[in-house]
Amino acid sequence: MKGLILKDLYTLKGYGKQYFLVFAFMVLWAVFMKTPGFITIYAVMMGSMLVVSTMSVDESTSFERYVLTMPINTRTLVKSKYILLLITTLAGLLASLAFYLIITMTIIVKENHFMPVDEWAGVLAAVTLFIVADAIALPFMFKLGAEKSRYLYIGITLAIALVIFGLAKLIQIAGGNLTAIEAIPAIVYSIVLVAISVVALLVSYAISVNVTKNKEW
Amino acid sequence: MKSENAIEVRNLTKRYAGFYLDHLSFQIPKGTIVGFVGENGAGKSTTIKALLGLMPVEEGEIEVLGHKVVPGEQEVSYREQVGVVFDECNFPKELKVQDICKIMNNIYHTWEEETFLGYLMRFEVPLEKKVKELSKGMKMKLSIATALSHGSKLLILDEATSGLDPIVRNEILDIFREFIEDEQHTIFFSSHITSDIEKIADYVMLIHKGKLLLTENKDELLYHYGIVRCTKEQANFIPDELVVGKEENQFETSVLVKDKQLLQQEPLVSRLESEFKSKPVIDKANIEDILLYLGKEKL
Repeated sequence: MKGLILKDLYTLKGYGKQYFLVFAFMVLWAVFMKTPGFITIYAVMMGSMLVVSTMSVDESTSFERYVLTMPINTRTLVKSKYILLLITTLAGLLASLAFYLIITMTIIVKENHFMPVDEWAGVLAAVTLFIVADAIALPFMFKLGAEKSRYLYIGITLAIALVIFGLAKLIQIAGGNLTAIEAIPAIVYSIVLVAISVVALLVSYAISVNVTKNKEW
Repeated sequence: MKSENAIEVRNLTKRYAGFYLDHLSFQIPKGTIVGFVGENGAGKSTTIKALLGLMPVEEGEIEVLGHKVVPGEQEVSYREQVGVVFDECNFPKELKVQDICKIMNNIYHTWEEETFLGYLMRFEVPLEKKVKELSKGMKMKLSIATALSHGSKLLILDEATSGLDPIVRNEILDIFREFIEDEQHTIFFSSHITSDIEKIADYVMLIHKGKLLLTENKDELLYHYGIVRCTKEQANFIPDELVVGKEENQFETSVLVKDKQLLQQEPLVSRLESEFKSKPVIDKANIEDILLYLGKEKL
């Protein structure tokens, strides 16, 4: 397992320059547009998408077929990708908080505290959105291959965002009060989102293990 | 009792649209190099994938180093002793060679870093280079170094020398010869480059369109098989039980026979000499000839 995660981290390090350039551009964009919230969500999105990139690399070199000739079973192979997803998403989250802090403290200087609750809620919602998107996409990626599932991943992310947007609209049309969500204590809100992420990952992992059991590599 | 075979396959069957791996059964004895020969699409890679548990099969049993192989199984520790090389390097292109050593150290309990570094030095593969910066030959050497650096007792090679120049191929064959010096070591080696098989194999297995045509000791095969060049009429005098395959064109008929020595012994030799008006011309047959004739015959 450790070897597989190391392989992915070294691979990502190999693409580090490209990721850094894209991220630096986004940071500049956020600074000029004075929207630190944008870069926080972008960092989380980037972190959660890295697992998709590693699966594309694996597919292009038939690495999965190769590694399954080693003392690695399909369950470990699958597990390594979910752990990588947690590592890279967490890294994205930490990077987003760090950049938020740097941008707000040094350039915009509009707040004297770290991050307002509404922005924190937005970041946490983004983490959940991308984790759920990954959780839906990963079994397809194991089943069909990463390249075939790449557009599916983008589609799933957009679909989830549209569903949330649609639900909000429906609540508004039905005369509901969306601001009621803001009344939910931050701790409860956070626990609910974390719970959604955990359940999505566990269900997804079980499905991925099942689809790889009889796969031809 | 421990099996004397490194690989045992019984009734292996796999169906695809337009292809059928037809009840393959064979054993690979420990301490031997077995060349697995066949044209592209004959079923070599499918057989190897099945041996490695990389796909479900319709029927059949496979044992590798005494372990019953089941696709998708969770108990895979026997693979510590199995080194595999495919026809291309399967490491991500962005990895550095030195990263691969660290990764393998965390995958194999039996990883031998010194052995790996020794092979890399011998092959002149630079540690600090990325996989994408290596030539095709270097990449294959890297894969072979990896396969040989975790106490492997069995090497399974799927077209590992294809696409390489003769000098690199020769270097790699030398490494295989060294590996087999330990009589507990075994190599199962698929290739369509029959000259490589002729150089190093002890046994030859020929596969054609999913069917195993023959499994024989290579030296005996090359010693006994021959090609008789004659006319169509003369060819009719060669006993059917010796004829493996025939090829006819407007100038001559050539007949692959399974025992050329018998044609040179009495009473056959006198009979043929009278028909041929002289001694029949019998050329040596190489593995490629045998594959071609057998393949045609089974069409």
